[in-house]
Amino acid sequence: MQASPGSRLRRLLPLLALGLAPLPLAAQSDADISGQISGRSFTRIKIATPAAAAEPPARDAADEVLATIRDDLEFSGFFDVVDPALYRLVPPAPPGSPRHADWSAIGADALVETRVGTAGRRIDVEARLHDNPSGTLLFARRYGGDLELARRVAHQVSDDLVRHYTGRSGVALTRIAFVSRHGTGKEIYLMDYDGRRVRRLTTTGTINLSPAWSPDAEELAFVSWRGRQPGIYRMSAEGELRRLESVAGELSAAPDWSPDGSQIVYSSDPDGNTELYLLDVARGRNRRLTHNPAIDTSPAFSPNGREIAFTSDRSGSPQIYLCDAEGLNVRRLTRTGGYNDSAAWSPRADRLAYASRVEGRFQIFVLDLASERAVALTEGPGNNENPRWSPDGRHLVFASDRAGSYDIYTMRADGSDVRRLTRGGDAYTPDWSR
Amino acid sequence: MHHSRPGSILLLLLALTGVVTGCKKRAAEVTPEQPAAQEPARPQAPPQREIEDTFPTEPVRDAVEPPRDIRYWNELGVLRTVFFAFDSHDLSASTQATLRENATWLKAHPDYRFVIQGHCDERGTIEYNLALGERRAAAVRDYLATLGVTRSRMRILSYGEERPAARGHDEAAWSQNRRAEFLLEE
Repeated sequence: MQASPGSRLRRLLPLLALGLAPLPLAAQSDADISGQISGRSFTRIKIATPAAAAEPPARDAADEVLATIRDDLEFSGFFDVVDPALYRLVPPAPPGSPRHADWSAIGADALVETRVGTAGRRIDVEARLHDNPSGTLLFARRYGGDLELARRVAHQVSDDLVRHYTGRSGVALTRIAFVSRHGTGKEIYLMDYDGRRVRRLTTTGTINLSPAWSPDAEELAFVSWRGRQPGIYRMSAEGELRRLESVAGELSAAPDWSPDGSQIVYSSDPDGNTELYLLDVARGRNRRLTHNPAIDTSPAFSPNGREIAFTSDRSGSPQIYLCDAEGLNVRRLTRTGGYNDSAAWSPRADRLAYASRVEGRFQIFVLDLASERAVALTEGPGNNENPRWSPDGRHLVFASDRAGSYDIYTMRADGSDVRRLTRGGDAYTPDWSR
Repeated sequence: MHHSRPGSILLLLLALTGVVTGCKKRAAEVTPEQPAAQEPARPQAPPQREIEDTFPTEPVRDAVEPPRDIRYWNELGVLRTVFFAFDSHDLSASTQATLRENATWLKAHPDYRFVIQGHCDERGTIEYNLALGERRAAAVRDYLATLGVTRSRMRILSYGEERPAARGHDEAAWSQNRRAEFLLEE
């Protein structure tokens, strides 16, 4: 019997579901909703995320994977997850052959079908993204890993979903490094971007501070008082620790990587006052950038590597300045506020976030570099400090004691959707990985 | 919606990439009228994206204890802490008096090296306070040098606001935290 076109498609889908790269569907119909994302404005994709298919032993893992994907999609701001309470209105269908019209009827333009399996210490996830108006499969992929990494497997699915519609990976797999009190000291910690999977990296019993991710997220630089002199150290992803050959000085601090990872700018104090230095990492050679009796600290490399924002009190109070990568052409950026510090460049280099003291408390401000207008993103009681951008520039992470003691928070780049990530641990100086 | 066009394009793309993959047989995906003979052969396991993790926790290191006499003097507090005004590294009259007494002890015990640790209260930013603490320690060092304490015995470091002596959020606590402390060391 001649197979109908529809059944031929159904026969192909199981083949597609096996790790092939998403096939470019050149003859996409007008109903393809990926065209909704263009330039700066877009309509949120209405997506349904029904429960993952799974055998009973994998049920818990499947629920965690699905909940993680839903949270990631909501956080991204690109999707509206259709209310799961409506999913029971769609009759069940064989996997790979969803009832597109029924999903569309409850408002879902896109559908993510997932299947989760576990075997011993391993988890297996299969995800298929469908476009309901056109009834086509947009991609099908498989992912696997250790069962303990189930959330990271789910994050990879979410990143791929975001990448499908926007052309760029989402941030679900990114991590936040920060410092937290531990025993008598402060240690370096990592957590996922959503505050889950918190774990400690250093075991020193003394003070550690200011972690800074390398551009490829394969290394963390940070300040540590573990040696006789507080210095800057680098920890690799494998756990190898090296002390930076910074200039001999009583204190080296505030490391920041150049965008190509070849240099680290930092502050150090060779002659009784804190100046900026630039280290060529491979050659171990240092170059002094600032030469004045003021405190110069908190350097931040611009995303194109040509400029450095930093804090200086050369005018009498801490203010934010710019200089080029040789320390020349210094110009002052902040004109309002009596105490400005901790500049952080947005990934597109169009904005600088920083902390500014207002009425005795620190608030996060964002300076638009083109218009030179600064806007407060936080307000209210407590202090808000050390802002850092997410790699897609859509969110910021910062430390705030608005709830009593310092914890790590994230918020959208317009100050909305503030989320608390840590609880009561005295957490400080966060940095957001790529 | 008529599926034939996407379907034939899919077939064409598959043919072009020349991919032959296996398929986990799941009864629900195969409709009754598909004869099993039309399933392609299954070679090795299908490709799959492997997810991993990085950055382990470092192991505990053995603590190094200073020698007994140094521990004794430090616990006794023979070198007294001095305090500073807000946002300042100036040495007040009472601070200078304390430092003169510390210098007397130091000159009477010339074999000991020591470190001057500068601290700040919690106001101000973390990084600026590191620099301010450094300034305070440097001011103390320079004054002791004018009193005849050998520079090579002294080193300075700053803890910024990271190691408060008092954990409150008022001037009573803050005034205790704006300080320079002394520790004898090997």
